[in-house]
Amino acid sequence: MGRSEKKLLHGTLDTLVLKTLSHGERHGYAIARWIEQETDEAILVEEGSLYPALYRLEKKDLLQSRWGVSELDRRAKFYALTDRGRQALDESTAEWLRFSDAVRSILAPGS
Amino acid sequence: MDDRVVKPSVDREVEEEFDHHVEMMVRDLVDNGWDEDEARAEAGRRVGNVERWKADTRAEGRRRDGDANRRLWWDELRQDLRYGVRQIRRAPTFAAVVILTLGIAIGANTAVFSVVDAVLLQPLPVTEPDRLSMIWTRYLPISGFDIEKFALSGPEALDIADETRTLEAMALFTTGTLTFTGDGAAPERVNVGFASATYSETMGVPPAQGRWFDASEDIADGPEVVVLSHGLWMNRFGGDPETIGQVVLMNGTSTEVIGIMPVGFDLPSDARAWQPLRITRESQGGRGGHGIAAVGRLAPGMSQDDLDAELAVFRDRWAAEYEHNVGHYAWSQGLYDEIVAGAPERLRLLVAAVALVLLVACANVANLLLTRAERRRTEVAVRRTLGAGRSRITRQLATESMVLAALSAVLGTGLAWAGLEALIRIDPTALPRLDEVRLDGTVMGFVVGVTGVTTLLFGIVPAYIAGKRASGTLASAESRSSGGRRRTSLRRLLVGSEVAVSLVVVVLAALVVRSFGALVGTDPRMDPSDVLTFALSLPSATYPEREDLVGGYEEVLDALGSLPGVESVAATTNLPFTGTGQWDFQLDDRPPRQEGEVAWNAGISHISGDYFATLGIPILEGRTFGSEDREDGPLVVIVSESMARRYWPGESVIGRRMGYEMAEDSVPWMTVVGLVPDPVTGSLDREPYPHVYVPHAQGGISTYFLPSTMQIALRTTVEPESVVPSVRSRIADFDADLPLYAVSTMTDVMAASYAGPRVTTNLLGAFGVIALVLAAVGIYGVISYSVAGRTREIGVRVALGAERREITRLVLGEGIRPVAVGVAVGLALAWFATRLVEAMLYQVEPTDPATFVTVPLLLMAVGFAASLLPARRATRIAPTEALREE
Repeated sequence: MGRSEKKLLHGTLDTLVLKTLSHGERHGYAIARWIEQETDEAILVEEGSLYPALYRLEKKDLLQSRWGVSELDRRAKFYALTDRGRQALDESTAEWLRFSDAVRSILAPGS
Repeated sequence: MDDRVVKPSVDREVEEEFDHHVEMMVRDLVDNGWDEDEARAEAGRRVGNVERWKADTRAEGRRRDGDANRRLWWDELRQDLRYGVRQIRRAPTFAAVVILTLGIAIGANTAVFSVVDAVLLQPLPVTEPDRLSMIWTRYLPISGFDIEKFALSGPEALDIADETRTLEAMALFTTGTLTFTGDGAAPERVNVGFASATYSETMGVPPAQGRWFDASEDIADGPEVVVLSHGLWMNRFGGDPETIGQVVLMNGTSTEVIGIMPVGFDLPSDARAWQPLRITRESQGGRGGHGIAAVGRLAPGMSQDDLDAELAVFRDRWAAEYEHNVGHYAWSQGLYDEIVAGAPERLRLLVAAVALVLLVACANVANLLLTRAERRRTEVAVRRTLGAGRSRITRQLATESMVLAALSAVLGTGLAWAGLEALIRIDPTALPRLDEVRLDGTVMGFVVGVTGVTTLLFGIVPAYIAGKRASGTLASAESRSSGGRRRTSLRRLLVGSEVAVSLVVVVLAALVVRSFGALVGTDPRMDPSDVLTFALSLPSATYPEREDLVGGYEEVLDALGSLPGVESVAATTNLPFTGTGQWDFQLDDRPPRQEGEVAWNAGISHISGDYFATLGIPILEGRTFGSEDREDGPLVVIVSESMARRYWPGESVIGRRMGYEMAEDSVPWMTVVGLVPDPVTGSLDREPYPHVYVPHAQGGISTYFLPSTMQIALRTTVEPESVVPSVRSRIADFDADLPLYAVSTMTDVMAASYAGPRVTTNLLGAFGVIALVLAAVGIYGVISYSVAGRTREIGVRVALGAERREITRLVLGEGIRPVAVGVAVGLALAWFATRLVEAMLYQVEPTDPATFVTVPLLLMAVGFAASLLPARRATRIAPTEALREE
């Protein structure tokens, strides 16, 4: 499976990032790794999408960041959810579940 | 450690974040058994087009930071606003003084601006008004008259209209008032513009419905047609679309409605209907019969100067051809200047004065803010110590000023609105186009602009100074004595300038008020009290013959004279305080006037009834007209004092003979039977001019025509207004189709003659008072503050045995000094500023000594009074209290 085929549905990456951070603060690389591991690498996160998304979420005041020291003993930027981010995560999770239920009821009725 | 706290730039942030990402990837690969170099190469491959990713991220980062800055800015503004409002609520007196001061100044400026806007800036209801010019005539003294601006005669107007090349269209017109009936509703007097067929085209305003009259209707005995204004159509016909083609009665003559003009078109002079002018070269009066106004539309590419050059050619040709045109020629004036003629000068003065008031208000408020900033030095220093930046403090103080300014603007707008309502209610005709004044978008824009400038003047500078000063430490702020001298001198400078500017405003106001006093105090040469006046017009359709007309008025006067409360009644063609025409006459005791000799002319009134007694005009010599002075009696005339002085100085006038040249070498001579004072014609400041009175019954015999419209005057023994209902019913009994109009008391007629100057005077007077009060507040504020700041020094002086008187003198001296300097500078400024009012002054010199002595003394007195209170407070300072202060 090529990377391009695993491109995320628009807007889904934001939700996954928020979900990842609901378990605590992480730096960018850790966020990408966590998503890949949790999905058994079904979803690969591109750096070219991840970092703009992180900055965009910061702009929307859904994330906040601070500079800290990573496991490499290097300066790294750590992201955490804001209150608004947590709220947004709840909303988009509910939205996503409604959507996937709807899709499933068409593709696999009765399952 | 430090750079972990400091936020890096977006560029570095992105760089560092990607580096870290790649390093983490390499580490994971190495952990999975990759060789270090291979791992690095693999990571590079996986990351792909890293520069593009970085660029995308940087862009997002910049957007993020921009947002954050904006958010921060808004947060701070909100904070500042909250803080500002809290500060204002903490010092309500201070805030009230500031808001009141600025509010009044902004209100006055707004009111004046909205008048300027309506009178000068709003477009006229015509197409391309800048291409329209009025054409007038001028009489140089050699002609016997000295008149700057006079109407054209028919032949003069037609000469120009027939041959002009600089005008693409030209129209002639006069105005009149006719009785409008025939549509079933009550008779009504309407202003009518009598205009040529080219008028609508010249103005560039076609009728909204129907058509304008054409050349075939603009000829003698042409069909009777009328074009209605939109307002008249709405009022009388309720906007009925079937109005065109209907027949109405204009002064009793059946007239067909052929058109309706668009909304707002009311030229000339509030016209409500238009009819053909029907002028010919043979029309009455010939070349000397002046009474025609002319308006022309400049052809493309032509200018006012081109028109004047063309008129100069006519001038030379006329002067060569006609004796009448020696020293008498046509000139032009842009329509725009025309409509607002007379107003700009008064408006300019008001604008200048009110702007000065605003300046004084700004100086005052700046002073108050400076004083307050002094009191708040500790607070500012604390905030500075707690980490507020200098610019942040400046911004915060500026925001506070803006809150004050905004509240002032709200108050000012309210005041302006109320003031304008009052002005329009009191006197809608005080200024041309005053009824068009309103607070619209333009005016609101002006309020915002003026408030902004004001804030800049009074708020930003003190805020900047305070912010700059905030660089000091808390410790130095606690000590009161440091650095006060420069700030005190800044405040003194402000007080001085304030006094200087106030003095200019007060001098201008005083001159105009004195001039108005002189105007109103001028002897009216009659007794206006207890006289009711109104106009009446007997239409030629109902009163066709001269005996009908003369008899009709006699019957009206008889009927009114027997009303209870009425002492005597009279009729005249023109009441005192209104304008009058002047006719050239001949004298039989000397040869006809030679060329170049000063013309013999006088104003003329046709009168009937007991005119002189009714208007309280004394008979100085001879007799008044009686029942024997009828059509078949000897022709008689009563002349005024100037007439006697000019033509028969030192001799009796009784028995002299004068007359009008009705036809070639035919002068019906009138014998002078009485002498009366000169009437006031137009306004009280006019020089008295020769005037003659002829009996109405002999009108058209000894004079050119028999007037059909008369002003009726009743002298009452009761309140003049109280007889109006009985007068109305008596007139209705006489003829139900006669409208009574222009009902007024003589006192009001007189007051109306100076309505314009009165408004200017009242406004300027108000501005003068405001400027004085502001100056007083300003001086008081500075001296109070200065005393408060010197409590310790004064306390020590008292402790050392200084007398109360010495302390008082010390404080007063300090208060008076900047005032004295301001007065001196203000006097110099006022000397030049009086040029603004020179042309408007009546019997008062622009350098009127009384004004130039009184006003400075007044301001000194104000300064003295304003310093007295703080001075007395200073003498009560106890030494012990003074020492505790520090």
